[in-house]
Amino acid sequence: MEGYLRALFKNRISILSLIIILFVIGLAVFGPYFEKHDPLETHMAKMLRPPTAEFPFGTDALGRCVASRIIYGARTTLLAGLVAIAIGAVLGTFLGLVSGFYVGKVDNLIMRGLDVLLAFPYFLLAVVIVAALGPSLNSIMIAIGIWEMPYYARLVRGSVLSIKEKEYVEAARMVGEKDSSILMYYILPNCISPIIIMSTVYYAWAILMASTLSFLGLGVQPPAPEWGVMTAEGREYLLFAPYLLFFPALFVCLTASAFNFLGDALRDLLDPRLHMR
Amino acid sequence: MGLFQKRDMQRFIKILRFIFKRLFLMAVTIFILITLVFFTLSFMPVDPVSILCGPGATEESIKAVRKEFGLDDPAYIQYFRFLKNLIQGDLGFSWRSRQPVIVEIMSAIPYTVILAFAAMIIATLLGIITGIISAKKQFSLIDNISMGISLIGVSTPIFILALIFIYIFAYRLGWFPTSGSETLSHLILPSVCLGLFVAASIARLVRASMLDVLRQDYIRTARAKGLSELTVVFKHAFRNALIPILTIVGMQFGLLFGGSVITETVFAWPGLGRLIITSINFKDAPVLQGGVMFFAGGFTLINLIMDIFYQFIDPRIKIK
Amino acid sequence: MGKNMKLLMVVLVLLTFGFTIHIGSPIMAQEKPKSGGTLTIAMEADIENLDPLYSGGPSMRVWCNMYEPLIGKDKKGNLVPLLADKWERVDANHWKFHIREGVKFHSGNPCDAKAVEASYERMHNPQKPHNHYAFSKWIRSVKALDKNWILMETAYPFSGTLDYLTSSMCAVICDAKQAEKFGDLMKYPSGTGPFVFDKWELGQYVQLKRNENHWGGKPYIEYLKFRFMPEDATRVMALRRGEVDIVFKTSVAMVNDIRKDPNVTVYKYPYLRVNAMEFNLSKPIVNNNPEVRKAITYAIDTKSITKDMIGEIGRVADSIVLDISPGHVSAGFPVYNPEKAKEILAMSGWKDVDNDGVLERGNEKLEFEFYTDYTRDYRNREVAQAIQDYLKKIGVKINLNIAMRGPFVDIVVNKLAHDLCIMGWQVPTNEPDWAIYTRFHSDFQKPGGWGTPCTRRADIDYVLFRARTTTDPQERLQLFGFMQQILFAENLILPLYYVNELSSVRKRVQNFMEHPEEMFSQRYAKVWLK
Repeated sequence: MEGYLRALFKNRISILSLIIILFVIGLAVFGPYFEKHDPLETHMAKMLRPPTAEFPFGTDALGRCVASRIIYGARTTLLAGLVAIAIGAVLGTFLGLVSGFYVGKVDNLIMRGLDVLLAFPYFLLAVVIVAALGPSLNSIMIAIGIWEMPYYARLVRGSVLSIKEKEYVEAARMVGEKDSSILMYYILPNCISPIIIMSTVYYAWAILMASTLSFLGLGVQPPAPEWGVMTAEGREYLLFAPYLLFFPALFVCLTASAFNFLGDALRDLLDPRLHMR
Repeated sequence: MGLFQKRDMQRFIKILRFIFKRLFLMAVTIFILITLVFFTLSFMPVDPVSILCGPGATEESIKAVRKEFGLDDPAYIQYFRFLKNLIQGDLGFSWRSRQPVIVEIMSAIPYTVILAFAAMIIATLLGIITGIISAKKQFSLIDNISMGISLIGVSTPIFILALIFIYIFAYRLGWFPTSGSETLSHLILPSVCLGLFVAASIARLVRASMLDVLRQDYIRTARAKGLSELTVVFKHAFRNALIPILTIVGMQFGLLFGGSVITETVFAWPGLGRLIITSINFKDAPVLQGGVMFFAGGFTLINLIMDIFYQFIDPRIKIK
Repeated sequence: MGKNMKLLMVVLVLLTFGFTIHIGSPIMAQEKPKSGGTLTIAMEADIENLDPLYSGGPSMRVWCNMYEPLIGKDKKGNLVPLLADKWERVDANHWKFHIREGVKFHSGNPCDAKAVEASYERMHNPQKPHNHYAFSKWIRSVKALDKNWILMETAYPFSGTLDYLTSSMCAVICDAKQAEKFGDLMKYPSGTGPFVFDKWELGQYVQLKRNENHWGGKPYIEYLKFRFMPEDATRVMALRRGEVDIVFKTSVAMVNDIRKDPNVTVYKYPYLRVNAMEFNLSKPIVNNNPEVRKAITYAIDTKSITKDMIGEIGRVADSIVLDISPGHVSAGFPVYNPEKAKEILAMSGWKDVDNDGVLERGNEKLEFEFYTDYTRDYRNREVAQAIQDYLKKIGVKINLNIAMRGPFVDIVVNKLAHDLCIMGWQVPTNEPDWAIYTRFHSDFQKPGGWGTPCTRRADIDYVLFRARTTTDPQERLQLFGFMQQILFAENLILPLYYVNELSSVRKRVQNFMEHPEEMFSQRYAKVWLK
């Protein structure tokens, strides 16, 4: 635990990232108390106004307060990313544990299966899943989770393979402990570290993916506020009111950057080999 | 002399066997992929009849269309029919334009190839050079700046990058056309955009790899021998880092292809990626099916080629 | 003087002469149209194919320049002869048309009475259904009488016969022989129009070339190029930079900016399209509660929506029939009175029992599924959200579903799974028949019909059919007027706005036609480029 804290506070950049992350989370949780406008409420007479005192970030094409949409959008985006990597982590860890522990045929089968998933370039897999399930918040969470799954699986498998050789594991085996308890009590705890470290990076990916899918119209649907959707809506007014596109895009970049920085810092100081994954 | 040749021959046969094994694996992967895509898309809630028949269609015309497209048969029959047609090179007809799917895909593929090629060249050159320089001058201002930019590049969704490009270079400055694909200048913006996006990723990984290499003992030996920095970096470090660097570059193809889907959409570049996205928007299942297949299949093929390539260039890698 | 000197003098004189003429001629040629050049138009979507029977909206805008109907309408709505130069009504169900002499299809096949007959035969093949089959069902047969006269028999005395035949959407004449040769005309189109097919780069552009042998004289411009640019902003940027010459449906947000550009003119003119909110009357909760419909009508401020949201591209709609149509009668819309709406609901027993902001009565709840798409009327997304807001204020909950064209059509036309929707209704000509008959007559209800879902009502059918078949033009207009008032009284539909077209055209394009029918075949025939 101290390893984490030391790592986090050593670097100036990682402190900045932490601040940004806390700010965004704070925005999502406490924002609504400061910004009283309803993100869905339209003010028809005040459409497309630039930032003023009443509307700190201006209004969009329906006269909705951009600031409150950003705040509620933070909730949607952050939550979507969280659920997505949770799905990916749970499924992937399970597969990775099984695959790494029981090498041989099972390992081969699982890895080949995941290879099929990885045969889809970047986010084409997510696109196909969303096309099938219909565009919605749930579909993108599931799609991104399934997309992240092979990465977690490989990560965990790598850890398992190296831990398996350790003496205490051998000892436990010889004593006759059940496989499942070996996995649970010896191997899994040692995988947690890389999982957490890489989760920061995977979370950044999930956020990027969610906003990209929503931008393409394949994710969260309007009028729900979400940063990707807002960017798509703002795109029409690019020439006229670029701030409609600028603000949500900025937030996406900031949040993803912050998590990426954090992940970098953690990897640099705790486990540089993870950089190569 | 004789021993050398025999070892070579043995290795050659090993490589051939490896290639065949991998080709077989690739075929299996693609087959599973096709099946997976087919059944996943069968969940798509869509009824092409309304799209095809238009308003005021009578009962008979609806029945005729359903029969023509075989929509009344159960899923597994449709699947086998699909496979049968596939072997004959027939991917069916687009529900939207009634053109053969294969024609639409074949006209789109060259555009994606050109874009990917151009972007990859930009990405590789820029990414590798930046990565090496950053590694060499670790912790310097150049390192921090370029790694900062790279990280932001990796954290920016590519559609935002594309929109910024269009806004600044095409609209405000007017240097380049905004979309379309007729002349060379139409290619520049999308390929630079995609290239930068991938370059950011490459730069970071190359830096990490070079740092690893530069820490090695033989580098210190070379320096101790008094060789010039340039020689050290390029002759020794770079050569040894070459293989991991090429591996990194190979891994970026996924990013490249995926990123090209968005780039094509935003820049209206008529490639396979854009075809896939528009087919989703129009719920045109045959085109979507065929497009995804080709895209993923092509990607798998490229991965295979890269793998084989690595076998050849790195004698240290054991051939399984 | 030496020979060389003489030669030099002659040359000098000639040069001076030529130079003067050259200087003088632009002044003279200012009014004279120039021949040649490429007119580039930006399109929102890729075309499907080039066969009028098997393609939809985006393709129509391109092939309407290659195929012509028998008659046309000028921009004021008067009939003009196109392929048919003479016609007469023989009796209630028979018409004779004389096909212009010497017209040929692009393929070289002659366009005579026999060819026209073959074209109609092709259209009426129930085995190979096509997109506009339903609209031409009233034509019973077309027979060639001799070389240039055809006899058309109608199923009943359709009063809008001539009008219908002017529509580029459903009444163009195709080269049936060519279709037979190639199976269809999707890639090898052949019509009689002022432009012929040149090339089609899939996903990028379609280029047409002028028809040197067009019966109306060859067009001035040499090439007509349609480029596909799905992005609004991209189209406008391309226009500003001169990459395209015309952008249709300019968005309200950008039009003021564009007006400032000295190289561009913005034309504003009425368009044959109206947007309305439809009630799905096949759903019991919608059908059996007319007071709910009335309340909803009173709750929505269509005037504000049109003025504030739609802006220049809309005019407030007071009926379902366009204000530029003959027979238009104000049906009483808009009515905005949210207090009255609340009153009506309260008086019918709707109360908010569980305090969730939504009214209930018994076990019915005022919660509706609302669908809209925005591919053709891109502001409908915002309009739908505004409607959601208005209805929230009277206690009606709307679940918004903003869909792309395909799924929208699937839900609203096939499955009738919606409760309310916004439907943009484009009519091929300004005749009121299109707006009302095809919308409310049972003929156009399910299956797959585009009519406003109504429980089939014999009385409405009767009125509409009478209007269609009467030979008395006065009675016809009266009946349509009557129908429009029924709509208001029973709140069967809520008109939102009439659409205006904003076309941004570069100044070098001369003689741009502000024709309300988007697909008028002669639109570019007399356009020239400076």
